[in-house]
Amino acid sequence: VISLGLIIGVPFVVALVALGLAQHSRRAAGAVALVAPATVTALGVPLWMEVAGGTVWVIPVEFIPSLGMAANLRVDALGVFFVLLIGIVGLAIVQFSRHYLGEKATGGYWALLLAFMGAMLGIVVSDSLVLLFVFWEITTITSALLIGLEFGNAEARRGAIQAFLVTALGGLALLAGIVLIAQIGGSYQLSELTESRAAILADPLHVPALLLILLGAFTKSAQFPFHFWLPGAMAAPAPVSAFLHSATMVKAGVFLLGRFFPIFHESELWLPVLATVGLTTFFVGGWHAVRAWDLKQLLAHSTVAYLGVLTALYGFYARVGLQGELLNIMNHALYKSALFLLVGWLEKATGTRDLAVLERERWMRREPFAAVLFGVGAFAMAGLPFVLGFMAKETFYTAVAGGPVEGLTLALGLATLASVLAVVYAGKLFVGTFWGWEHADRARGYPRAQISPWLLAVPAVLLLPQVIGGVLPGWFLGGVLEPGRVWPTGLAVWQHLDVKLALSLGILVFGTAAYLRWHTLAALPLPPGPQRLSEGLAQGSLRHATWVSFAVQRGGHPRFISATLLVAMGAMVAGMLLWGEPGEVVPLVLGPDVRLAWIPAVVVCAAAVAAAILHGRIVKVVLMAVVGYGMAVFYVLFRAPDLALTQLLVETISLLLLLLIFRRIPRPDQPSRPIGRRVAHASVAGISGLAMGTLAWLSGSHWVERRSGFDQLALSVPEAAGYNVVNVILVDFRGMDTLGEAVVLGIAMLGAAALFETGRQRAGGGRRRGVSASGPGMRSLILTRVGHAALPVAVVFAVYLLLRGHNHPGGGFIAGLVTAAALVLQALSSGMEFTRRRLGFLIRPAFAVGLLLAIAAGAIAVGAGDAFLTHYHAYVPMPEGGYAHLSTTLLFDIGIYMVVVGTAAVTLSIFARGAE
Amino acid sequence: VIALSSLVVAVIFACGVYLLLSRSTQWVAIGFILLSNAVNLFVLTASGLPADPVPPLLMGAPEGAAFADPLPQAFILTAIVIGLGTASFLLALAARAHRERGTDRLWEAPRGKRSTLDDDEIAEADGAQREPPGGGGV
Repeated sequence: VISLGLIIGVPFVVALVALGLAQHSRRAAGAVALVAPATVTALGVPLWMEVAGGTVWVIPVEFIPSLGMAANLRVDALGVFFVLLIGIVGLAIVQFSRHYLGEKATGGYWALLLAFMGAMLGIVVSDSLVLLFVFWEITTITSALLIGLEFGNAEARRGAIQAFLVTALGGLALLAGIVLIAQIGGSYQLSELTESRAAILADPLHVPALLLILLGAFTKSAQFPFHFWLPGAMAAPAPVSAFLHSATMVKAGVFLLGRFFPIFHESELWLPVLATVGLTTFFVGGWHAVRAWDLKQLLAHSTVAYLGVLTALYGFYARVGLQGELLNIMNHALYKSALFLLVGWLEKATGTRDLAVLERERWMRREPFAAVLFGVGAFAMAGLPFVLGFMAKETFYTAVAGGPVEGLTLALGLATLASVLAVVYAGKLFVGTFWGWEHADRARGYPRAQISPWLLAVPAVLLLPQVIGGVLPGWFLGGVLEPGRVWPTGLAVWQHLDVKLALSLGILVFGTAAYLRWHTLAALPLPPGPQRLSEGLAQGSLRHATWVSFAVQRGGHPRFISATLLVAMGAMVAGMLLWGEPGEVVPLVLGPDVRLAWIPAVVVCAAAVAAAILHGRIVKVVLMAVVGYGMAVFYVLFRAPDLALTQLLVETISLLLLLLIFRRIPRPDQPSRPIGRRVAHASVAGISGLAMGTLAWLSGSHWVERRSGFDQLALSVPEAAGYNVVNVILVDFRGMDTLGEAVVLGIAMLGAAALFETGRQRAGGGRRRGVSASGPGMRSLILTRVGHAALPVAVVFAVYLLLRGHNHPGGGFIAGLVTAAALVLQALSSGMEFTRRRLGFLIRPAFAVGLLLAIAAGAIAVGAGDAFLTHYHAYVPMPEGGYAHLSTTLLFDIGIYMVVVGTAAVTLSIFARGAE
Repeated sequence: VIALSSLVVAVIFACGVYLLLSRSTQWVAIGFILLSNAVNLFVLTASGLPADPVPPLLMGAPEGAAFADPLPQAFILTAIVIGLGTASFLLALAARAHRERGTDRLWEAPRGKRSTLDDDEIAEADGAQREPPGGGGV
């Protein structure tokens, strides 16, 4: 478990470190980045030793047990194989990037690259489909960002948007598929789904589930007809392309097929769909690769082609059983990443990757070592002997031809044709680049001294297994890769004179012939493909987004808010009409206390309407306060004493704040809204008010007997030893919410303070001549006296409220507001300077201390081995008899108290002080 | 109470929205405070009330009393305090905006027409939208 956690966690952690470090030294960030893939590889090797034989471990990790969701991890051969692949190729990519990008590798680059790597690792070790999906989406986002790394470049932006649209769309399909299959199979765990596969296949719903999941895999793996995003994504720098398009991103789709293979392979759809899509992709990708003049595009299309091979292979495995699937995946990952890196080198060394130029020039003699590397890569690409690629291609033919009768069918024909194409573009890559008739032009590229030798060393290391595996296939395959399976050993691999060998030879011959004529092939016209469609889609969605923002936001916030409100209200009313159960028709229940309530109701309504219509500023504010105090009356009627207290205090404080702020802003200077707009706004307001009121009435006039709050009523005394249930909920049952709320308050306060302080510095000088909150002229002797006297009384009262809060109305919030109100009073009467001089040292840190206290109160429980914010209480006997009830909730409540006091006081002092 | 407070919710909500739609930051702030009052009362109203209600204070409560639901009360208690924090932030924003721009208008009347949608113009439009430092969406 620990090593799995590390495998996922280390890349993310290192990503953060690199991000921070890069501000000081980008080189250091690159060096640190090496740690992540190295750790992953080091941890992966021992795991591989244990699971290579076919063992499967599932490690349960609880997530939301009540929803039946767990974040289980899984260790098996396929997953750990990918871990190693990602680790090793990742190591190569990081090392290559350091020398290829140099100072251009920003902290953002490293962070994205490593975060992407972490997400890939997360995908391959997830047993939980939910977890897998989360990581899947992270790869979608990070990879789109990586593709668009050079966002100043329009082509990069377009490629990134396209890649994101296609893969995110697929991600949605995958999510739907996952939910569907979980509904059928009753679990989100791959291991459990695999066990119940018979039941899943018996359910007709498995067909849409399968198709949706395949859609997710196909988009990610750039299968036809979604293949177009991958070449578009080539705007990224060479190492990014190498990583995304060889070992990781696009392999995620193939990996997904591997994960679902055990569940779905007996489905009747599996073979035809996968074989058709895969082989079509193989052919289409190959065709595009033959036509490409840009070497990187050629590689991109050939990647598409090989992904088609892998997809088709999973289709055919349904017939012949799994064999050599890891071989094929590894083969492609290693040679394709090496080739992408080599093209990166080529671009530096020759200054171009355009075949039209390179074809003519003779680079063979100048760069023999690179030529050898390209050669090995091209051999693997074409599936020629003495490299691993040959073995991989053999297994492919075996699988395609593996069925009993349908040996040489359409499938084999298509595969053969596409393989011929593979020989052609492999030839283009190697022969076309290095042979030529003109003298190589060194002036275009960088001088050799400036090109790091690592740029060739890294691909060389990646290509090494190709040669080892090609020459010693038996040892390599049997000993290292898939020890559980039987492989022909030694030279026996080459000694089968059968259809397959004939096929290989034939392909080679035809391929060579076709290569000689590739210019003609490349010139053939091409019908417009789905790329056009997707571009239209991308353009369309952008345009639509623009249109929506213009329509909704152009008129400033009134229009924006109106649109939002109307949509929300419309949805609400539609919900009520469509799905609202009429329930038993309630006779017009006015609820209790109607006779009492109509007076405040009339007052509040009148005040609200007047506040909206009347013009005077002070009038508006006072009316607003009337509404607020009226609320308190309603809270009393609703039997909520805590609320009523809180409301009274808050209303007082906000009234004061408003009055303070109004001294700094002149009256609104503009004429009131034109009549047409007023009518429009009034109708928006009327509609939403009506909807809210109706919903409130509909919902409130049903009294449900069994409600959530009643558990807390019942549990309050036995569990928390508190008699004021509202307070118990706040500090105990939902303590975490309250803590979060305290933090929000603090953030609001800091935000307000920041808005003021930064402006002050710029204004400069204004501070000293500023008149304090209430200038001398406003001071009244009586008020000053009262203000001084009120503070200690209020504090004592607040402490009283605080202590009784657990059992009676009161508590930290209310006590804090009482104190704050007294502070306001004092500040108003004696001037803010006075208050700050006397009490500033106490008030300023109150917020921080309070928050720490609240957290500490919760942390005690963690120390004792319980969950955060579990509270303890005890009855301590007192000397005079009787008991004092002590509990950690009190500590928590004191923390909340201090937070509220600190927030209110600091906000107030800011507002008052800035009165110049 | 339910019927009357539903009415009150409707009226205050409508008035709050009306003020919120105005162009002056001060009115918006007042509207915002009204609106949060309305929403608080809405939650309480929607949660209903038993026939002969008693506050959720267990000490000294009569046997078998019908308590009011404590959960919405707890929610609203926090909401009131949060509302205060948000309102003070909004006011700070209004004061700052006034100092920077010399007016308390949230936005100026739109000038540009809807244009064809090149990247540049979209960016321009974005900038124009973002320019007024208004707090309307808080």
